[in-house]
Amino acid sequence: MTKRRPPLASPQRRLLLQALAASGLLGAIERNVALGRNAPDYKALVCVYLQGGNDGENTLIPYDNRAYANYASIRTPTSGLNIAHADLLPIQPAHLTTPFGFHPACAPLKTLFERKSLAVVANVGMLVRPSTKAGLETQGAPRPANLFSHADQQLALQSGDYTGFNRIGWGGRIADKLVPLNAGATIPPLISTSGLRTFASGQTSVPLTVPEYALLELSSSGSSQQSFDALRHVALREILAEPTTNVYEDVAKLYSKEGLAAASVVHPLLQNPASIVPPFFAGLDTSVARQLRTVAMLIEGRQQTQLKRQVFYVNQGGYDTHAEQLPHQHQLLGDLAQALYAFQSAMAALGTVNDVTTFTLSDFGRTLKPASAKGTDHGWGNYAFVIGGAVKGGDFYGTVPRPILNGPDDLGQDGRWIPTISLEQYGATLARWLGIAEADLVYVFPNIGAFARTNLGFMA
Amino acid sequence: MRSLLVTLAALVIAIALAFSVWVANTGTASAVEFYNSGLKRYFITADPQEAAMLDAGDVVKGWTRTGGQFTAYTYPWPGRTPVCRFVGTPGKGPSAHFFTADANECALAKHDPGWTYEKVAFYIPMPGAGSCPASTTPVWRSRFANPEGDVNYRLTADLTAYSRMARQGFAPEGVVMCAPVSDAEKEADIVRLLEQSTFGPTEALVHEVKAKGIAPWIDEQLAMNVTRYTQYPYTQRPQNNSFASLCVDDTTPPVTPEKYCHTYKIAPQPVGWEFFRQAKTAPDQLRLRMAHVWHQIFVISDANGTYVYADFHQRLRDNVFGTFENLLLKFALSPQLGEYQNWIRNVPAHDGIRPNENFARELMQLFSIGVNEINDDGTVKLDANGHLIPTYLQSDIETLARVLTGFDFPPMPGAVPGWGAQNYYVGDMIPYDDHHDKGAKRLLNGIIDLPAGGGAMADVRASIHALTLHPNTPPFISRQLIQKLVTSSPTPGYVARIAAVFKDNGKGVRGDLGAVTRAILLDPEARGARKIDPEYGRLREPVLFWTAMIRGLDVTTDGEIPYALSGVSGQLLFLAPSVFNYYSSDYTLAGSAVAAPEFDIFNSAEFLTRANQVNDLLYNVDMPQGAVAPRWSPQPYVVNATGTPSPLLTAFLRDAGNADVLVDRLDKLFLHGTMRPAMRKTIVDAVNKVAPENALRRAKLAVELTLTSVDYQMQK
Repeated sequence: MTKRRPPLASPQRRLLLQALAASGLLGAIERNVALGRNAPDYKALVCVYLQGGNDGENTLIPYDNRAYANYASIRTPTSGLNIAHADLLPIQPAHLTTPFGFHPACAPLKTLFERKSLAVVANVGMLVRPSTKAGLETQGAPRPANLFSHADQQLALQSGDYTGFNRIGWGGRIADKLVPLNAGATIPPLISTSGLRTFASGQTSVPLTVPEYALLELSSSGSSQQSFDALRHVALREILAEPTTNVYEDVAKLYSKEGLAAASVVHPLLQNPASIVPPFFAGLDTSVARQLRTVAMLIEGRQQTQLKRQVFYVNQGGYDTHAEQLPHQHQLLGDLAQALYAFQSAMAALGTVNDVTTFTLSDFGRTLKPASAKGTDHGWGNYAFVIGGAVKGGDFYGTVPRPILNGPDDLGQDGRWIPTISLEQYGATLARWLGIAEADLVYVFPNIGAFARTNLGFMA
Repeated sequence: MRSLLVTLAALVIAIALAFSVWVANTGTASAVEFYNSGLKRYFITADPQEAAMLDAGDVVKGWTRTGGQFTAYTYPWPGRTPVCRFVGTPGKGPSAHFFTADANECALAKHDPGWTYEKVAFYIPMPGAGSCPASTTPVWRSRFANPEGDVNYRLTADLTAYSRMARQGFAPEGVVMCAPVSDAEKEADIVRLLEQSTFGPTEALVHEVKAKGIAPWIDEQLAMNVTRYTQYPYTQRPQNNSFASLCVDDTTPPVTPEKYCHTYKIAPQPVGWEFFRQAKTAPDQLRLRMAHVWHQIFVISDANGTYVYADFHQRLRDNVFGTFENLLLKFALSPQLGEYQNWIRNVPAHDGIRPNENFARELMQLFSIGVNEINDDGTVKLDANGHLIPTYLQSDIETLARVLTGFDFPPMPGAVPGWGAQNYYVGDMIPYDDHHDKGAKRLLNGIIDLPAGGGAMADVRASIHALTLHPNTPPFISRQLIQKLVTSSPTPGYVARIAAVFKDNGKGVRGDLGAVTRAILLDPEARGARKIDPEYGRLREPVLFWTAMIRGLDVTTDGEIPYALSGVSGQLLFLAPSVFNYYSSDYTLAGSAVAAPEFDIFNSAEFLTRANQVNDLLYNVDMPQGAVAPRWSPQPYVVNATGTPSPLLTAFLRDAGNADVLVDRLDKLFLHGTMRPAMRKTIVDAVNKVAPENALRRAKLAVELTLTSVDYQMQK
């Protein structure tokens, strides 16, 4: 059963509505699911959020001699940011005439690119409307609030609202609109493996958080304590079911009940000894890998969860490389690339490779011009990656900014690129593929009317 | 005969005195508040039978208790004013009740055909000159009236609830009564104080504070000596950043803690373990709690050596009751911060490299003024178009980055100070004017306006001084301190009162953090036996969830388990994921604007995690060695290891035979007497299903059900 809630104005009303009882969900599992006969196919979007602002300018570097020389004249060897040409992994995007080089830690991503499962979207960022350097610098054109602040940009990118006033996520709003397709689901379609982030909060949809370390059940008090444990657990659930009058308690109760209810469905999936997923992640002991493995196992369990359309949120932190960027970013990109590749391989083995699309987002790019301490400062437009069988990969979409300090694409003079693709355009392309109707795009992205082209064409 | 008369007179006087003492001390009742959501009416009754009738809900339906109540007298006496109770005359007056302690108001209402006098509801002292005597608690009244003649009043002792009545269309009428405070209420208030100002209440400390009085106890805490972290010897940071090469643990038998060199030279663990041990026993609880609060505002994470963690966190402890300007300066000049925020060895722009902006940004965004202009009460200012007003621009950050140039590590003992010194973290960073940007620096529209040629230290001090004087700073900081001590969503009134103390402590000093801390704890929105506003309180962060258990249940621990397990819950001490702390101060309840920072790390998985941690704490001694138990026994790498064995609950065992008494005691200590009747019944019934002779198991069950409840998760 889905959690159905009418749209509400005040947080108190929304929170005071009753969540489903655990027994109701258990009943749903046992229920005869003849719904499958008319149900649409399965699709899932997986957001991999690179928290801190990934430096795109060292993730993809122009590879031809002239363009690389320009890069090296700005990110000089003495600056501590330079990546040697010989270390780059070259790729030739289908419709560009010059090659680019992936960061040396991104070999798995190069493989996916050449397999045409990975597309690069260039210069994506938060915008109020299409903007120019002159407009922004001298004509007072509006820009997103607190443009270079982590917290504000995370909120803006995840809520799809440049003003920073909206706390509901566009991943959540997608789930809101896909409720009819998920009738019969035993757990929420919105799942985060990294706590409750804005992206995964819907207006009416409540997300489920699933920890990296799968221990979603109540522990026992000792061996041969079954009857005492039963007494404890029953009393604990009873107390949880009783009404409270504090807004915070109501929310804590909602999450707690959801955790207990989902535990009975999710725990077996994550402990499934017959799962084919874990071998793909063998040896990958990073947070992002564990999270993607959890996502893969939940996708594997889609028969049990009866979900048809899902939105996942995964978070990888540490990208705010103000100092010693080279070793830090190398580690992070390496961890990310291996985890994404393992995930793709698991999807192939599950037969869902055309049904699952993974995409990256990050607070902002970083300044092309180096800062002291061998680091970089906060930028704006950035590269994003989209991965999946339904992706028209092996190519770049959008326009790569001209890497000229104080050039036509630079807000200022330090290499902060004015985005040429807005978050809305990027997200709408993904949302459409998942099944959001044209008329519903404005619900998911309220500001989408400011941008003419809302399908960037990277999805088949 | 005469002596007999004298004796009789003395006897009569004695009896009269005794009687007066008896009357003065008894004859109280709880004035309990009900609310009818259908009628949208509030109602108060001090009559237990009337309350029981409303609770039963068969004769009169639709009334539920709000949790609000205050103490009133049932007998007249000098100093007590009768409170007249009226009901609206059917057909002539509103369908509401009206209470007044004002004789004139009462007389007028008696002559008003719209009101029918019912009786004296109770007796209660009145405020003198608008305020209440120290031993009483104010009761506020607000009034609702609409053009259709609908009228309702609300009487409440909860200032937060009173402040928010405007949301329901009520107008404030001020303090109208001064309720006495019963002994139980006094103790409940002290339990709440200890939740706000220490690492957790204990029965012994409640009695101590009760004997001393709340304000004197706070003053005593402010003046107490500082508990010190053990300091550790210097460890050199290896050139290639690889600590593995620095030392390798020697695990050849016999294994002693000293052989775990990584733990005691590099890791934060020894300092973190000591944090929890001191949280249990240190007498200067308020200072240590405030150091824990400030650590989460002035965040550093990670550090290059155990001695570095110990030094930095002692630095915070030492300065949390001085001035804000001093604390910010000591923080800014700490080598740990210099490294964490990349401003150490920052130099003027050269060779296409700009001075690092990381600290310049966060110094304004997080550590003083915040990103948006705010009013004194913490609410955001909006411009004519309804937009937020940023406090600083990117250009301001770039200019401030130029101020933050020219500082390097302090010298090692015996070494000559000089630029390029070896990394050493004890002592303030040293200024070098030769490496400082000498240009003029003007930012924030001239709030910081430094002429060319200024020295490094002078420029930094002047900038920090100016940021302290910025009008945003008092509310920006005050609001966060309130959030970390008392409630996540303070009323604008609360923020404004504390910001005023920040601006001037009464003796002309700005940013007196001792005075600010004191004011936060003594404010009427912090004090009181129970708080009923639906938006009041804060979620217990993992570290405080653990320290409260350790203290309240008298858990023996060397700190290793609570450090690790609060880390599992998202608060691994001294290793915050970023400068934005373990949880973001901006975080709001999902999909709403209600501030709830600690919920950033609480979700459906965390509920289970906490429940299982309580399970493992209480029952680990009973578990087979192969499962959970070994982790809780003394670990070889911990000095003076005790592990964290299941508590004996000795203090509660004697009451375990009587479930009501047992639960009552836990209610008082952990929920300050506010346990819901339904929850109480569930726990008592469950405990009574355990054999009476199994006292320890009964006690553990009651403790577990109390501490895992959502009611306990919220500190309010």
